[in-house]
Amino acid sequence: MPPIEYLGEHRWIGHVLHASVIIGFLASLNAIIAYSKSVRNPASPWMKYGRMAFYLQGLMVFATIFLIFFAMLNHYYEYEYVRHHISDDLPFKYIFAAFWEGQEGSFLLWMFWNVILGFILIRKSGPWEAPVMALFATLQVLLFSMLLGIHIGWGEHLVKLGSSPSLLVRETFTAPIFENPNYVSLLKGNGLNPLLQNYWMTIHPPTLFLGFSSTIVPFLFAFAGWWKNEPKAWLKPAQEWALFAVFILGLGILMGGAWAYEALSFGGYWAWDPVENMSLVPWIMLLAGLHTNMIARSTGRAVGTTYIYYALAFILVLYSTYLTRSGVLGDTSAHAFTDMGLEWQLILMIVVFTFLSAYQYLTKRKLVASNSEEEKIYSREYWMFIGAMVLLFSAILITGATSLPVFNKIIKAISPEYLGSVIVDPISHHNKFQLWIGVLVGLISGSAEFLRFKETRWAEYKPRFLKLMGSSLAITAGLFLLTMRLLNEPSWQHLVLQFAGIFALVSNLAYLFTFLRGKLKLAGSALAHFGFGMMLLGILATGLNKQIISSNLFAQSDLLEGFSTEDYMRNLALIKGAPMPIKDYEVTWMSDTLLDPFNRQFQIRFDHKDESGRVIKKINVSPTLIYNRNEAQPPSSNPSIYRGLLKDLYTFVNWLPPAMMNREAAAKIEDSLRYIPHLVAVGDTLFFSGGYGVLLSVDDSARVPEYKAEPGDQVLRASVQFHRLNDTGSYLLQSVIVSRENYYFSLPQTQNDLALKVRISPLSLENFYPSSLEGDDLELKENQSGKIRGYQLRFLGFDKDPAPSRYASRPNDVAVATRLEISSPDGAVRLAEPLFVIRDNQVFLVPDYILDQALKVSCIKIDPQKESVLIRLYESVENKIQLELAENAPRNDMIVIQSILFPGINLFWLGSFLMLGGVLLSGVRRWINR
Amino acid sequence: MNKLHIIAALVLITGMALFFSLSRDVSTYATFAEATENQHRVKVAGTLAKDKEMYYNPAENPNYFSFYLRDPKGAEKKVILLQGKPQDFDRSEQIVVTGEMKGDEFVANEVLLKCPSKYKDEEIYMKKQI
Repeated sequence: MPPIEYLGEHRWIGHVLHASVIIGFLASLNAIIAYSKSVRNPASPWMKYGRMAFYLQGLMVFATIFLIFFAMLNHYYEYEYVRHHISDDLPFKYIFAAFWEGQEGSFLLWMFWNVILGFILIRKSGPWEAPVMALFATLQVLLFSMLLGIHIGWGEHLVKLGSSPSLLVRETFTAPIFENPNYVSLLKGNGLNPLLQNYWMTIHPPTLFLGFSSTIVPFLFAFAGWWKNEPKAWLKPAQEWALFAVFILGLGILMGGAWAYEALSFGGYWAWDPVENMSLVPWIMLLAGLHTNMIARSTGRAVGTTYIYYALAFILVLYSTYLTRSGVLGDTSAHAFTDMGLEWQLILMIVVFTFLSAYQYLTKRKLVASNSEEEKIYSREYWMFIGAMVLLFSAILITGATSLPVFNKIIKAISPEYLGSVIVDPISHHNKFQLWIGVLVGLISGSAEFLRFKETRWAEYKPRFLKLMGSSLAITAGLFLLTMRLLNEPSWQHLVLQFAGIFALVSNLAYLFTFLRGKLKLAGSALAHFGFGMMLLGILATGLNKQIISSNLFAQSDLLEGFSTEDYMRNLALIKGAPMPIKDYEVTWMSDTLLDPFNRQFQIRFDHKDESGRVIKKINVSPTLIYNRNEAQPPSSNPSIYRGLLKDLYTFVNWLPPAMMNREAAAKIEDSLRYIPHLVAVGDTLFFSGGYGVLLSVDDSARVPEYKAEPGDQVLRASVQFHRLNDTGSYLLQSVIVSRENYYFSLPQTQNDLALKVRISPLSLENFYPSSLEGDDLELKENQSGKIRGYQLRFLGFDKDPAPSRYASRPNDVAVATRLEISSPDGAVRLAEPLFVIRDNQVFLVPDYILDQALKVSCIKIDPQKESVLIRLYESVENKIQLELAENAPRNDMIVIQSILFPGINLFWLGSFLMLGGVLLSGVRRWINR
Repeated sequence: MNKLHIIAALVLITGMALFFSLSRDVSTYATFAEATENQHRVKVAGTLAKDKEMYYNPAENPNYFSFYLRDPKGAEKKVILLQGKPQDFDRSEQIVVTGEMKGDEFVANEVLLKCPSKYKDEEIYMKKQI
């Protein structure tokens, strides 16, 4: 078979893209070699060459990104990356989110920041440029290799080197569509996952990846320093960059927490999900490194430790990349990427950098002479060192527990029948251990501020220290006793943490005012630790005092041992419009609206009541439901948060009736119903097991929200009044069927109180909108009357300008309505206006229908000479409607919500911002004082 | 006190903590038989028995959802989930429930579904059928 000549593909983009990646890969390799050769001799021409090579690879990163954007903006769906992440209806504001939704795009985002930071380092790192950039280029080489998309035959095996964003759809899938040379015009974009169509998706990833990029920089300086055999000179730039990295990465993690809290429905800002953990751990190590870095600069100790910590921070970024991108987390994380077949390349990246950093450490560690002098327990560096070690252990604990899937994978490789182990309750597991980290950090950071570096006159300083410590502890104890009862059912461990948090607040404030006398310029560390203390209190408040209020006060359940009452009282069922009393509130589902085809918004009102039952505050929340483009997928639920100063009220829709879920679920419910047909005329009675109904009327109005009228629609609506045998109430139910062009659709309605659903059989359409062209004719002049089959017809005159909505009109149509008055034998008088339309010299007729008489009236001829019209009347053989009645229909007006009060969550946010603010302050001060 | 001593002590303590924590908080995925035997809180992974009844009636109790789960050994038990019915439950390929056996029923308050991922769709959408 000859190869198919495909039409409409924009192959040049793919070719240029692929070439850019290869050139970038080679240029970074060149940069490594050239920069390495100029480490010892900065004046050599290699230096310049290395710089050029790095600039070139940077250019290639920009080109690659630009080309992908170009293909995305032009909707070149023949490219798999474009097809997968873009769709015609994706709003432009989400183009960035769509770009880094996939693995390739997020690698490029990381590389982009590496290039930017690399450019800054070339200009600003001075004597360190060569070794710093040599190592930085090594990272770029490995990252470029992820995008190469080269397949190498290795004996029998095919080795895949990277996954290229320039792949075409037809290179990714095999499908019959690709036998069509014109397949490109048939492709449709998949679009961005609606869950990710959120502004956080635009700002969170770039911040986090800038954090990841900047985490390597302190290590670059450490590595460069020892490469140049300079034991300590690198500590200064490393510290400045570490401050920057701690700030940015911290901000990125916090944004992730805010996103989780605001837009995802797992009820909180942190869930110890592996993906969250693995972005936190590098930050913790960076923080540990920053502290030992300060010790090293002040005392000359802990230089080697600083090197190790910075190396670990960076290697953990790589490890985190491996965990989230290799598919190994599959079972345990809700938001890892899916596997792209890059596992061994990701492992290689870790191995390369682990080897390089370990080799450098082992060969150069003797540069730092070991200091035999013992550290004094009353010096600041002593406790800072311990504090950094506490952070290291925190990182080890989190990493160890998160790595369980990796251990499983290794054991499974050895013994395949191994089932795999798993942490039963990850949240309580991590909380249990990290609580003590919080306690230690709170206590140590609080006390260490009062101590001094390289303490030589301890005897002199001791009384002052004791006084400060004593008063801080006393104030802490006082505040602790005052606030002790605020926490809900604390364990003693929680109380210890509360004490530590308050102590961090008090002592750092005391430090700020006694030592710094309020000079904010120097207050970075005190502010950061103060913020940390506040954050701990916020975590305690939201964690312990979080209150699920969506529980039915009247529901009774037998409690089972081992489960808390909370387990039984999490969800609340709401019926539309019916107020539901819950603790302190009354909650009502007011309404719901479809904002666009993919977003449904619920309006739910909480009336806050005081003890006497008076409403003191009305709170409106509007959780939304986001439908997936792929209808088989269920919609996802977005919470809505009412933000108060002391507490937030957080609400999301946890369950909704199948009719609202998606077409598939709705059809499934419809199929499960048993409809029984009833052929009835107006006034007739139909029975069901609980009572009876009377057909009140048949007409053509259809005011149902799902229905959008179109010209020419033939609507049939039946109104039935139902009565139950055991009560006196009556329940109106209206069902609608619409015939449009050559198809029909039914809009059956449910009477939720009776669990009845009524639909109109399409067979009824012919009775009321008969297609027959026959009938009895009558010629009439204006104001003249005549009789057909007992009906008295009177021609009232013409209407030369009938409503265009009567039929599918076109601009050049000439349409005339003949106005007729029709009196039926039973005395009812109706108006009918059949149309006579001339379009392009051809006549066609638009009849009018009188539904309750089952009449069809047409004007088949207009005679201008005689000034008369010829009317044709057709009476249906049958004027009954076929109603189908189903009992036990599930409610379609009930949702289940979950509402949680988060008290003190603002303490958490404020505390974390103060913490990062303190870091920023220290950073800015150091950058300014360079 | 020497720095090295502190390091050694801390490493020892953490090592022990890690060991105990892992042994206590970690378990292998259990089968129903094992869950019946040990009566502890465990995780059971299995597949939904699609031919058996799934029951959720929010009007009656929005915190009660029951279904039948088949564990890897083929044993089938009724699972009572103290939650609403998860939206994508019907489509799930694998279900992991956390809870314990109570009589002949497994009562769970946590569920993790593995669905044909939201993050990958292997379908190619087409504008029209050819």
